[in-house]
Amino acid sequence: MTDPLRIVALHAQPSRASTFVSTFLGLVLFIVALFYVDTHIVRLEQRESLVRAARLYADGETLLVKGDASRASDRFASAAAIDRRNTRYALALIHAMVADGRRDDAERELDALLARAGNDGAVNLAKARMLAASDQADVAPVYYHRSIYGEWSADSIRARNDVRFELAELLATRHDSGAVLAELLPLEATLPDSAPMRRRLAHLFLAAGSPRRSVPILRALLRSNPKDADAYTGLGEAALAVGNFAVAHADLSEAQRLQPDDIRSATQLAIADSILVLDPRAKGLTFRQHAARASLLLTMVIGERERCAGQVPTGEVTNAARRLGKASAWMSPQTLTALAVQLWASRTTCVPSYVVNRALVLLLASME
Amino acid sequence: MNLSWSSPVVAGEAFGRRVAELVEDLRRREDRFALVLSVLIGAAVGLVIVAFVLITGRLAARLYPVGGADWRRIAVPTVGSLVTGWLLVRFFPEARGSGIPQTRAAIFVNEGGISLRTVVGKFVCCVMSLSSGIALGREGPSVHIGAGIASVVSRRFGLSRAQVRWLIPVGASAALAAAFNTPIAAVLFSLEEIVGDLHAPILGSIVLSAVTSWMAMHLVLGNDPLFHVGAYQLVSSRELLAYVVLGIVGGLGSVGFVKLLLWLRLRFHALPHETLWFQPVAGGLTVGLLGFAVPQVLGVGYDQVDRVLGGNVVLSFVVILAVLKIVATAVCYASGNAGGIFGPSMFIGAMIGAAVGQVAHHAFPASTAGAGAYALVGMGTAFAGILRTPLTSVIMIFEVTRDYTIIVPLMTSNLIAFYISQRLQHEPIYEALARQDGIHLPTGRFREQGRHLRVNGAVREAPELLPVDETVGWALARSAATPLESWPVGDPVDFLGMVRVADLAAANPDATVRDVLDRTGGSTAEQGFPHVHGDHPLGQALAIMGRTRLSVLPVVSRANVRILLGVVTLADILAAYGVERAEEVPPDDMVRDD
Repeated sequence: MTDPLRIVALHAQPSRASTFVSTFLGLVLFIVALFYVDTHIVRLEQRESLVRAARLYADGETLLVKGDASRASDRFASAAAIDRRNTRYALALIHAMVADGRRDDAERELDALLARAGNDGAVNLAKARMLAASDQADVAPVYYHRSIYGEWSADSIRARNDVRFELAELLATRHDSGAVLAELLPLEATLPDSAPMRRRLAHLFLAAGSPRRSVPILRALLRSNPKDADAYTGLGEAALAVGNFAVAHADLSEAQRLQPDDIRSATQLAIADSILVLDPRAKGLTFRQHAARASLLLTMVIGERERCAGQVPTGEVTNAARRLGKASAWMSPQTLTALAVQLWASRTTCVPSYVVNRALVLLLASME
Repeated sequence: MNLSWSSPVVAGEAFGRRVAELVEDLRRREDRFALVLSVLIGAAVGLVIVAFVLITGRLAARLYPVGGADWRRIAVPTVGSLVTGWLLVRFFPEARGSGIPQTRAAIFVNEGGISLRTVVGKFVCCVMSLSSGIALGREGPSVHIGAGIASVVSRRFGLSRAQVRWLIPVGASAALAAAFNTPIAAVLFSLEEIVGDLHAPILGSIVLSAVTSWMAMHLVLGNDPLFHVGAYQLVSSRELLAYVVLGIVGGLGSVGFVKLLLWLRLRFHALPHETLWFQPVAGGLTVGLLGFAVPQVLGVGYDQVDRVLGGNVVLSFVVILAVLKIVATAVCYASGNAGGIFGPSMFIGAMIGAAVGQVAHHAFPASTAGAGAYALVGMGTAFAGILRTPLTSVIMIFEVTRDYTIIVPLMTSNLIAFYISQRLQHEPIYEALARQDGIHLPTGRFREQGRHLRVNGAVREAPELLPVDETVGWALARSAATPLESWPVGDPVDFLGMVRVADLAAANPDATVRDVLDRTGGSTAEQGFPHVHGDHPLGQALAIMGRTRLSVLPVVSRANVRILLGVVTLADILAAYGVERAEEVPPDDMVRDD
């Protein structure tokens, strides 16, 4: 290395102009050729890598179906390491980690994924679901919205509608009617002509306390399938909600006839029956029947108040109700009904006895 | 207007002449051409290194297919080292080892000469060696390949030896920028380690080539980073204590690795020369046996580093990996395999960092970050401890994370590791490796000594100023009392310049000292009178003395050059260099000019 003769030999005399130009051109050509060689190798490498990653992903899915979440995680992790841009692999890894009981690892992985793909709809949806399943459900709607307005690789309208449905259903379980309705209105405008989706929307409108919006959707479903028991149930529920108890009874009876095993329509029919038996405003009643129904209504309201008083102390209102109940024999049916409505209006919320309470709620709501 | 048409032949000749003139102009102005060449070298080196990395990866994937038999982990590195060992001895003797000491030797010993054969040999042997699983890195060889390309190309262009020498670090920085995806760190590494001077005048060329190479690499490979690092977080200021511990452990680990490697290398050097071609097999077999038990020991191990950075840490496993990697890398390198220690340093650091981080996080979960953050800092710590380039290591990790919050913990542990390494292993690894090969490269200590020789170390008290408004006759009478030839001149407030006794003697005795000073240019404020500052190197004072023919220079304040702080004489400077003892003269006496 230190041989001076070698050093001198390495250093040639200054080049001639022709050598200079040829060296220059040779170097440029070398760079261009090298660029193409490199690009070719990279493409080859990428193609092979993508195939390898897809194989690992498929393996992982098979293992996950077999219940081997641990090995599935390994496969998904390898696939995600090879093709880092593919969020599907990373999401599968997170899913497998959760299935393997590694929730902390999954959360960390998901946060890292969010950091590099913060605008990805599917990634935000995964985060929203993780939050919804945890004790941070209040934060979940933020990520649902990021998912709705995020990027979706294919069929983005359908994906966004699905996310919005999921969010609306989450909000419905939290009885946040206003928020549910806020999600359903844009959904109604973009929803394709799909019976399952329309049905889902109609039921959510009912849950959001907007039965009138559900009726045309359910009627449209019945037009396309007159034996749609679920649509009859929905219509019955909508009719119950707006105080049209006779119609509700008819629709629910039809639903029961078409699908006798359906618990939902049976329950709603029982409610409708209760209301029809209880309603003091029903036409064709004799004075005696009218008075009996009014008295029964007042008794039920007082009973409900007393039941609730056992759970929640209500003080003077409950005592007043008792006094009124004792004096009811001397009152007219109209007065009794008015008293029942008045007493119901001042009630305190408590855990309901479903059918009776629901019947009372619907009936008295229609009288208010 | 001349409306005559020139024929295509004439136009072609004119164009040809113009091109020839341009080429000639470019050839004559080497400094300008070096800048153009830096860009071309950057592109060429970047693309060669990308090819090097890709081919190594593809070959490794074929040698170790998914689901391949376990025996491959012993057989492949053993056979690989056997083949490369033979190639290295038979065809490419200068392609052994890392490449960084060889690159430095090319600059300081071979006047920039690296042969094309060495470049090709380094490429071929390192591809075979690294893809077979030898526990060495690709960055050192990349640096050698890059420097070699720069050398070959610049010599082919017929550049002067000085220019060829300066283009070596240009190629080296381009190689590192492409190999490690950190262009700023590549520039710093070239200056800090290869050239050994952060103020080298080739900074522009180095930056140009690093940027070009990095761009070429990104054009081909895209924006995928080398390591995938999550957001770094310093959880609390108390956590810095954990980073202090990491600095200590990382420093001790670095020293252990360097000492083991150097000791083993000496043992291999002591073996008969005939065994040279067979020696790399020792490394191949060692890494094969270790890799049979723990496959992560094979190769450079960046996949494992990536996993650890992601927080995937099992304490006992990372400790075992750190120890095994130290052994494997030391044996592989010492036995003469082709490959560097840059990548393994990162690996060892990441494992040490992950281990310390895991313990810290287990003990204080609320006030410490996860093990991944420590692994990241550990990489820089080991780099600073093993390679002794603390500035490069900080910038490199900063470039990897692009996160400012990492700087303070990184600097803390890096400096501790650097200090421990300096105390326990005096000679930096690349200098020690070169010395084992019989090459005495300029050491950091040598450079430090040069930097410490400053005017402040030789300055003496200034004599009484000659009043500027006195007559020349008075001044001559005053100066006749002592053998002075140069005197500082001033008015009651300011120092104005230096006047030589010879100039006073030649002037009219009735003239004022100011007249002489103005005539000799000693006080021209616009041009500045000859002077030095206390922090100037003594070499610069010597250069000024040579230029002005003054053997005494005033040492003035940087805040106000009219404030005289002292004087420095030629004899004092020579004494500071140890050439000649200063004459025993009273402080207010001056040494005569030559």
